[in-house]
Amino acid sequence: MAATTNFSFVPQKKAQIHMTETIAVLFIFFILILFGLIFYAQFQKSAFKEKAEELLQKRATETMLKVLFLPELICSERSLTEDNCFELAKVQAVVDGNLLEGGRGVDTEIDQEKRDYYFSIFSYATIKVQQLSVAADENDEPYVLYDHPLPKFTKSEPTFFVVALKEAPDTYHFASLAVTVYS
Amino acid sequence: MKNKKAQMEIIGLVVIVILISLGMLFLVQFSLKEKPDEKAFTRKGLAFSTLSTLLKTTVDCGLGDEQRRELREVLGDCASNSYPGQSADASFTNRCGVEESCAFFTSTASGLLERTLGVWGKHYEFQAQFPARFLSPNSEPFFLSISPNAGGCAERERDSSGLFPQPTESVGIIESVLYVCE
Repeated sequence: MAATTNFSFVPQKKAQIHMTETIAVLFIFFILILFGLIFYAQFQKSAFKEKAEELLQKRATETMLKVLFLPELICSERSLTEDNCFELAKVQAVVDGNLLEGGRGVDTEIDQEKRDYYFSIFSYATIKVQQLSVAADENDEPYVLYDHPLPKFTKSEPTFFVVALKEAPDTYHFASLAVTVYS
Repeated sequence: MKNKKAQMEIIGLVVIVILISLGMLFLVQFSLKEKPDEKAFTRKGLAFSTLSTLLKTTVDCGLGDEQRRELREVLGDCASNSYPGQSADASFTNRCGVEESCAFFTSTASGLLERTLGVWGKHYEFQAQFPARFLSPNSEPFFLSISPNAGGCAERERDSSGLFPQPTESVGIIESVLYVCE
């Protein structure tokens, strides 16, 4: 009787061991898959962050190029334009009239149109031009041409360039152009 | 039966090896992926605009409009008065104010570069060189070299403004270049 019991017990135990082994293999397999997924998710997260930064940098460069070639600022004579050069008189006129932000007057429909027009070009950005001399002094107050920071922005990307400020036909000043975009 | 089990285990191992290899490939592919060239483009443009603006900047060499000249003229004068073989007693014909042209150019250019590129955290190196016919095999090609105290662009990835040639009265065409790096 006892011999019969032992005979039927051995294959059952073997099957149990086999099942445990299969479960262990499956467990390890799923752990591996899980690690892969976690790694992939982390990677995607950083890739997404990098992409967002890349897009912001791209927008900063594009905005900078738009400013550099803005007819309202660029040095021109008849139909000829001069690269990397702003006319000081134009810069002052833009600042005094608050041109890129729709004017200083009453908030008319035309002002709103102007504001929308420049917003469609620059979006959320800040544009400053600063005339520089060798020694820092009080005359170096920057000209703020456009100031539209994104409310509650999380990241800003400043881009700098050097431009010439043309005062008279043969007089050029050294100046920096700072364009900051927000996201 | 035993043979089949061994085969199954080998297949399992192969699957694991394939999975790990795929993971490795995936990792290598992304780590070798090149960064966008946006910054390099901006840096190149920055080097070009900085040098072109620097050379055409008007400086006041003394009192009155007659003493105003472009920095490129001061640089040309510096070259004309310091080329190899120039006699030691040669006087600076075209001084800028009380300073000699080379000293004036160096102090003005380094001041302006420091207030822009230096403040923006960039390293730079300005070089001006004589035409090849003035150079002997042992002579230094640059008659003027400006770099910040923190260091120039040696052994760094740098972008060049390109050569800016400039005719001068006594030495012919001199060339200036500005390198910008991170």
